[in-house]
Order: sequence, then C-alpha cells, then structure tokens
Amino acid sequence: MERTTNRWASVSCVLLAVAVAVGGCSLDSGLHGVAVTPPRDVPAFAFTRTDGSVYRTGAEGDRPMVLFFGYTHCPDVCPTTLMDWKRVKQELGKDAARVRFVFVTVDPERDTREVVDQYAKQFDPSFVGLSGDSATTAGIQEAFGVAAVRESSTSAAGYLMSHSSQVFLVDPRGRLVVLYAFGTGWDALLADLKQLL
Amino acid sequence: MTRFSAASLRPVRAAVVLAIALAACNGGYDVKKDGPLRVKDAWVRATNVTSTAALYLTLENRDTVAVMIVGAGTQLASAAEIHETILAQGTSRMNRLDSLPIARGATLTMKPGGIHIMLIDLNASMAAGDSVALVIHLADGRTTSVKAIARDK
Repeated sequence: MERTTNRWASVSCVLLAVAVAVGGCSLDSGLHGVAVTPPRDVPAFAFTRTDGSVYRTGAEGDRPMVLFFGYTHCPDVCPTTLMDWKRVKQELGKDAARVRFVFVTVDPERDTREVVDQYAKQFDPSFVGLSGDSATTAGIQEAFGVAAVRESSTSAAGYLMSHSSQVFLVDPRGRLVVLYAFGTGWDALLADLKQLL
Repeated sequence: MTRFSAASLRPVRAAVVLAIALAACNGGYDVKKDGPLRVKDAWVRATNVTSTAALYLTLENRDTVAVMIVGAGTQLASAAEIHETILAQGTSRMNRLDSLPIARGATLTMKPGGIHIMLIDLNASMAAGDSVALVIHLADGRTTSVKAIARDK
C-alpha cells in the first residue's frame, strides 16, 4: 500500500521525543536504549508465512521480540541493523533462542513473503522476515508509531522507501519497552536483552 | 673511473634524502600514475540477495585540484549509483547524488548510515572474501579503479 502522508515524520518523531523526554535513557531505567516509560502495550498482528503458517507478533511466553521495519531494496541501514542483530545473537549464546528477531517489510509490493524471509535469513536462519497485506502493514506501523513513504527517484532501483530507522524491543508481555536509534551500538541491545531474559 | 669527493656528493645526498622524504610524505603515491583519488578500505557487505548492496570506501583526493565524482560502474551489477542515507527524527531516507565533489587534499569516507555506492540488480551473490571491481568516473573524464572486498560485518 502506498502511503503518501507525512505521518511518519510526526508520529515517529513524537514517539521518540516522548520516550526520550519521559523515559530518558538508561541511567534511570538501567536500560541502554531509549526507555519507553511507561511501557506501552502494542497489539499483536498476524502474518502469513511462506509455508502458509501464521506468525503472530506480540507477547509470546517468556520471549522478548526485537523488531525493525525496512525493505529489501535498502542496501545500507537495513543490512547494517540486521548485522548488528547477528552479532547480538552470537553474543547471547544459547539464550538467543528465547529472542524473536523480526524484520517487517514496509514494501510488500516488491517484498513478497519469500523475498523478505530469505533476506532476513541470510543474516541468521532464525531471523524472521514478514510481509503483510496492506491492512496488516498499515496496522503494525501505526501500532509502533511509524509509517513509510514511497519516494520517487531517478534510481535504477525504482522507487525508494523512507522508513523508521529505529529498532524496537518488545518485552514478553507484549509491551514496547525500548527504542534504539540507528547508530546505537549493538552492545546496548545485547545488554538490555540480557536484562530481560 | 670517475672519482667523486665527499663534498661534491653532498648536494646529491641532500636531493636523495629530500626525494625519499617527499615520497614517504606522499605515501609513495603518484597522481599521474595512480590517479587523483587514493582508495582505502573498500568493502561491500556480503549478501545472497541480489536486489541491492552498498559499497563503502575512503577516497583521498591527492590531486592539486578539486575533483567531481559523477558516476560509477561495475560488471557485478546493472547499475552503480552514489546515494546518501539521511537519518532524521527516527527515520531513514535515501537520496541519489548526481555528483559528489571532493576538495583538493580532502578525504571522503563512505560508511554505513551515510554516503555509499549503491549496487543495483547484482548478477551474483557475494560471499565474504569475494572481491568486486568497480570504476569511479570523474567529471574530467578520469577514472579511479576500486577493488572492494566482501565482508560479513
């Protein structure tokens, strides 16, 4: 679904600004990213996977979820983020099995279920790449206070997407608890996951 | 056999010392032979998805004038473009740059989250350790050859 509003700028900015202003960083919360205070419930969304099964975001037992919105034609920010996740997973060792690393495409038109899942799995076989229908894509973006904008471009890649560059950490109760701006060291996410696990 | 006195060799020695010092200062770099841009630390992220990839490197302009990058090309991809990632207010967007100047003596570092060379429609995946040959085109017609190494990082 093409989204042409500028909502991404305002909503994402407000969410981050509120988190910074209210939650502050880590010193108070003990967290190393930008704490969301109080933690905010985010609804679950159902995505159909390549094998036809349904994957649900949101609370799942004792497993936190690490979430990013991107697209596979993104050569810079998205793979950099996923490489950080790979490092985090390696450092977590066996505890990594309890963490869900989820990449949701903001470009379902080009990123089919197969394409996005293959993209995520090239970094680690346990990473999940999800492509939703228009309603699901719009819904999960709204739930996390982000949106994506299709940008016209002279690039041979066709159109490009503006999208959230933050990593979201959702605790096992399905609450958004921490944000990580792009460029935050991978060790911040690692430290917070160790705290949650 | 011609004999040289120590005194007569002093200017020669001085010239040799000066030449060595200058070469060391310039890192042995010869703009006429090696081109205006000195390339350092060129790498591309290893990928098995062939839609796009980013190539990063450091370019040092060793010429006596500013240079203008106007394009790039590689046999690995159907297109290579200069792009800039702009991060603001929690969002990321990319702009294609038609040209990119580097002032005389300046160094430009392309790195994740900033300016990069975007490879589009790769004809092969890249494993860590693979090398990628790329040519950078300058506005004055000169070119700079780049050999980038695929890294898993």
